[in-house]
Order: sequence, then C-alpha cells, then structure tokens
Amino acid sequence: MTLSVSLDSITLTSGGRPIRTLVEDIRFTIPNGTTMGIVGESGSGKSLTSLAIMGLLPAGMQARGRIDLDGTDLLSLPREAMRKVRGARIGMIFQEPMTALNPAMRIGDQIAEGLLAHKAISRAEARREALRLLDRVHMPNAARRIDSYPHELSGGQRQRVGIAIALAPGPSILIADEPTTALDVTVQAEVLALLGELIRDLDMSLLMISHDLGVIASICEKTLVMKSGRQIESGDTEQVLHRPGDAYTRRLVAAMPHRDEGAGRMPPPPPPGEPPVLEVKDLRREYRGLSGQVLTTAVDGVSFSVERGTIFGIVGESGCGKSTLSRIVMGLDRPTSGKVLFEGVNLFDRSPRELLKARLGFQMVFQDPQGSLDPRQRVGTIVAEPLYLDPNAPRGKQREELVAEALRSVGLSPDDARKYPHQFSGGQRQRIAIARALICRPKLVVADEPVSALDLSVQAQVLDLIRELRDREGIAFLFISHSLAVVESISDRVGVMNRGRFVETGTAREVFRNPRDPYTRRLIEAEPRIDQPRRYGVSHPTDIAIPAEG
Amino acid sequence: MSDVSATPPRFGTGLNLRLTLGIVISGLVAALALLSLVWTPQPPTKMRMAMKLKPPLESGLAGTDAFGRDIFSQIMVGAWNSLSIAVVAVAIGVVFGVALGATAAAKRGFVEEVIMRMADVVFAFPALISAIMIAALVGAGAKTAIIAIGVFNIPVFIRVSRGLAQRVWANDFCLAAQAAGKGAFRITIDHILPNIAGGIAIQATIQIGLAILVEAGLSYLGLSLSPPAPSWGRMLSDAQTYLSQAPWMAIAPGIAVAVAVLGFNLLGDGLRDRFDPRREGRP
Repeated sequence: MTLSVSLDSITLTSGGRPIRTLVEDIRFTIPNGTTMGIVGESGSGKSLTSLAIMGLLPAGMQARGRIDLDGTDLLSLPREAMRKVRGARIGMIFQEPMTALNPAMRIGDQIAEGLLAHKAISRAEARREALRLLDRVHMPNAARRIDSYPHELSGGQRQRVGIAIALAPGPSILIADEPTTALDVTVQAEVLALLGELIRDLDMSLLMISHDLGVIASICEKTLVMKSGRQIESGDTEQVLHRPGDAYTRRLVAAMPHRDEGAGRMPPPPPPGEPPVLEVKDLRREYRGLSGQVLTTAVDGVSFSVERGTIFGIVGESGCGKSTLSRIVMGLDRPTSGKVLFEGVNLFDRSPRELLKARLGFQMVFQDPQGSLDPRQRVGTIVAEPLYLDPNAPRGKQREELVAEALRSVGLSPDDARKYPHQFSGGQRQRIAIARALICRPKLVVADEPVSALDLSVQAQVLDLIRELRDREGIAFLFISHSLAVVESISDRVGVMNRGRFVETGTAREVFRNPRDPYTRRLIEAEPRIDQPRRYGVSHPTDIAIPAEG
Repeated sequence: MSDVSATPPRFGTGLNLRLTLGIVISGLVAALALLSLVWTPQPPTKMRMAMKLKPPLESGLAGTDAFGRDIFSQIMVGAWNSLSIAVVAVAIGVVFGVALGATAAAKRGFVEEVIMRMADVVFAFPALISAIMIAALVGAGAKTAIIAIGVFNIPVFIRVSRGLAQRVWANDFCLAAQAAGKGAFRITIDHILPNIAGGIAIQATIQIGLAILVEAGLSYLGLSLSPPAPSWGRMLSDAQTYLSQAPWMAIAPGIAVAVAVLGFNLLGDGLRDRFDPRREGRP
C-alpha cells in the first residue's frame, strides 16, 4: 500500500472564506514498508499535515490537493467512507497516552472496541485478539493486564496499549505524532524499538512526526523538514541531517545541544578561602504516612557543591527526586535531614526572617514559561517581584532603571516592561523568567528544566544566554534536566540521579565519555542521537542492551 | 495542536446572542429601577379609589390595583427595591465568600477543611429558612432579606473562589512568588485575586438573578420590605385575592420577576461564554 501526499494547502476558513493559510505545498510519498519522518518546530504545521491525512482536521480548516492511498483520493472520500479507512488502513498513535486512553474503560475493552468496529467478530474473539495484540506489543503479564485501567499502568505501558489499539484493525500504515515525547529516555528507547520491530515484522509503513531530530534519525529512512507550514527539504534521513541542503536545516542541526569536542571548558579555579556558593551535605527528604512509617524517600543522601561561576547539572528521569531536591535548595521545602549551605551558612539553621533575606542571593527559573508568569501582570511588575523582600530596593524611577537593565541583560528591550506575557513567544517568556531571576543580582540560580518546553533553536539561544551570564556575571547555576544532551553541553560538573541518589558525579566530560555506573550507561545508550545510523526497524538491529521495564 | 493556538489567547470573539440579550434585558431592568428614583408615571403609593382595578391601558401601562395605585409605577419602584437588595446581598456573599474561599485555597489542610465544612452547614439551610429565623429575631424588613440572601450566597462564593484559586495556585508563578519570599496573603492579593476576578464576576451576575427570585419569594411571604414600599413579591401575593377579577395585577409583577431573572442569567452565561477559557470552542 502506498501513501502519496500532495497537499496544496490547509487553510483556516471563516464563513466559507479562507482567512489564513497554515500549510502550503507539501509533497511526499511513502511506499509500502518504508518509514518517513516529518520534523519541525512548533507552528510548522507538521501535526496538521498528519491530521489532514487522517481526515481529522479541526472544524474550520480545509485541506486542498490530493492524498492518494492506492489510487483513492482520501480528500474526496465522503465522511462515512473515510471512517472505514481510518483505523482499518491507517492507524494513529498519539502523544499523550494518558489522555488518548479512556480512563474509565479497561484496556482490553478499548482494544476490542476498534476490532468490533471494523470486523464482524464476537466479543469473545475480540478479547482473544486483544490479548494477542497485548502480547505482540510485549506488555508484561498481558493476561493479567488486559483487565487493568489506564491509571494502573506506567507511561511506557500506556503507550504500548496505544500502539496495540492502533494495530488492532490491521492497518498497513501507522501515523505516530510525537509518540515518545512524554516519555523518559529509557522508556522512549523501548517504545521506539517496539515500533521498529512491528513495522519490520508486519511490513507496515510508518509516518513519524517529531520535533526531536534524534528520534527521527533513529527510526526513519526518509525525512521531511517543515517550517512555518512549508516543506523546506526532504530526502534520505542520513543526507538531510548530515549534509543538509537548506540553511534552515543546517541551523536546526547546529542548534542541537552537542558535546564540545575540544579540550572542554576549564572552569575557573575556586578562589582560595571562599566557601562554595552552594554546598549540599547528605540531604534526605522522606515522605511519611500518618502513622510515621516512611512511604517514599524522594532524596536519599545527596551531597554536592557548586562553585562560583560554574554550572552544576543534575540529570535524571521522572520521579528520580530532582525536583524535590531543587525545591529544598530553594527553601520551599524542608529536608528530613542534611544540610544546605549557602555561602557556608546552613539555610535551615536560620530564622524564617533571615531565610527570607538569604533568598535574595538565590533565584529560580521554572520549566513552563507559560505557567511561571502571571498573565495579569505587566512584565515590569513580574521582573521586579524578587525585590519585594529587599527593604533597600530602589523605588520609582530607579526601580524602572533596574528592570530595564535586567531586561537588557537577557536580550529584551526595556520597552517590553509595559507589555503582558501573552504578547511574547515561548523563548522570550523564558527570557523574562530569567530576567526576574537576575534582578537582585543572585549568586546562584536554580533552573528546573528551563529549556524543556522550548523549540530547538530557541533552546540553543537560552542555553547561550545562561553560559554568557555564568561567564560575565559569575553566577553559579544548578541546572536540572531530563535531557542528557542539554546537561552534557552546558554543565561543568554533573550528577546523575536515580531513585533519590547520585549514582555518579564528576565533570561533564568524565561522566559522559567514561560512564562508570550501569544506570548512566543505560541512559546514554538510550538517548537517540543523530550521529548514529538508524537503529530501529532495520533488518539487523544494532543490539542495545536495554532491559524491558517492569 | 499547539500549531494553531500560537496566537495570544482570545476567549471567543465579539458578542454572542446570549450576551447581547443579557445586556439589553438586565440593562432595561436597571434603567427602569434608576428612573423610578426621579420619575414614575404616577406616585406609586398614591391610592385613588375611583380608579381601582382598572385593566392595562385603561389607566396606565399595566392597569391599577385594588386601591387604584398605578401598577407600572409600582413595578418600577419594585425593580429598584428588589435590585438593590439583590446587589447588596450578593456583595456580602462576594466579600465574605471570596475571603474565606481564597483563605481555604491558600492555607490548605485543617483550615481549608474547617471552612469548607462550615460552608456545607450554611449551604444546608435554604435562604427561606434563614430568613424566617432572622425575621423571628429582628423582625421583617429589607435588612432581614439582605442578611438572609447574603448568608445564603457566602458558601456559593466560598466554593467558586476556592476552586478558581486552587487552579491559579497550581501555576509556577505562585512558586516563583514564594521563592521571592512572598507569604500566602501577599500572593493571594498580588496573583490569586486578579486571576480569579473574572470568574467571580460571572458567578456574581448569575447570583444576582437568583437573589432577585429569592427576594420576590421572601416578600411574597411578607419577610422582606414592609408595606407600603412596593415590592414584586408582595404585589403577587396581593394579586391572589383578585386573580379572577383582575389577572393583570398578577401578570405584571410575574413578568417583571421572570424577565429580570432571565436577563441576569443570560448576562452571566454570556459573560462566561465570552471570557471563560475553559469553555472556549464549546457551544
């Protein structure tokens, strides 16, 4: 079965008249049994293209052109006939497995539902088939899990169910829209391996939509790059990513965080006699039940220190305790035991009043630039917020000057102080958040996933800004992220965190070149990179030792 | 689907039908109420026995009652009385309700539990029961009605404001404010209240409609304004005796109550459609 897409346009219409063109001139063909990736930043129209193929464009949008599936034009099919194509011939896998599954329905029934809609079989047969499919997607303990509800499964298992649902009616093409974006890196590797195995064994085609060049490189034969609704270039993945013909693709590839291959940066030697900006000693945080027994230990004996003008990176998967750690360092949570020394003085020995004062010296930048700025306040008010604590903070004209300076230092204009957050893009909003952290000239900035929500090119700019602030102002950063590549590229020293502990610490070079701990090795193995050949869905897969979860 | 929503948030577009109707109807009611302060066709309480029980248009727009008083003038003054009681009562509900609801959301734990359970207890008493109790204590009158309706509005606003505030608290900017050293009270003032104000205003509009209805019920039972001050509820109860002779005596205040309640409900729903981002794109 061959899918041949030749979209002239997708337009937003109002009252029958087109008011905005969202996607223009996209042409590609997916022959039987091949894989194709569409890569692009947010707003590039990659998701709209996949929705147009499925005939699922939101109301008010119209696709023009021809989408040809073995001689039938899907765009001209009546609604009823299109419903038969959807699922039966083209299966779809969604990004967020939790919201794509019905929380009130057992997973076996959800898989059977698709089967019953497309085939004339009995419920008992559908259940047997559902069990076979769960086995097929390597669901551990499938016979027992078939009667589970989605919330009883882990993220990776849920995405396996999502894949089983897509497979159920026996489609020959799978469309996967960011299928692993919400997953941890090791789970992502498992899901990609599963997808690769399925398309190889069942001889299916795959259309993969992703913002992640590494994911595309590890599974797709061909790649199409989109930007602002247009096709920038397409061709063999290897060629597009390694010898890009277009300037935009080159910029995109260059924006990927990469380890620097030279001797590496030598952090300035700590001045003698001066204590580290931040020193964490044997920190523990336990959560206890009402009767006093320890339910979980989120942080389990962590020690490290951050020197002036350096970046300490913490990398780990979800639930490893890195966010709890950052909250404790910020004084927003109290540890069960251990010390947090800020310039040599324990934070939690101080009176609450002194603690508030000390807070002036360290600030925080959050992950979601949307949620971390109050939509009802002007940028000037937002940026000036940390001055609240400082009794000596200047007022009036001088304060405006201070805000303007903070905005200038993150590359924004002083005039932006009068605007509201929604008038800025995601990257600009993150700059505002950084300006807020800088206004009281902190010694330490705790950045919790500061670039995870940003597009690749914006991410590179924000990372550059952080490096610049480190070198120019001598600010120390505690940089927390799930992304190995980001942490590797920006950190001077690194701590790899797993289940509340540091399994490995050292300079970024040491840890990523010669990982000693098996967990670190697993993380590095699992990370999809563009400097490796395609490894999933090929006939002789490069064996990577990732034990199945659970 | 971030691809389409990259533009700044827009909560619906322009005026919808409900909002337009709501503005027109409640505006008309409010205009009549204000006008009654300076002018009515006839003095509303002046008895003219010669003109008693005249049907609509024979004397005035809506006829006269058993004492020859002009019904339309009474409706106008009644609009002012009922609207002012409703607005003051809802304002009481907003002030106490939002204060308690925002406190519950800010403090969590034990304090929240106590406030919410107290709200449940108050919620269990309908305004009518509290009005009868208060009337027994201080006697019937506008004050009784205001307190009864106000008390019954407090738990409504506790719940609404707590729900809205909890959603705002979940945002990182509240964590950022905590990191800046602001306490729960300061964060509530700076960040929570401005972000929940819209939702509260919508709820208040709907509650005003409801309060007008409850006030009519109370004055029907003689628990609100005392005679001769005109009020819609009492006009209805007076009309009962003459229902077969002079049905217009019941129809006019009946329509007035229905239209006023409808107007404020449409206004509230229309505002919600227009401004509540959660309902964006839904019919």
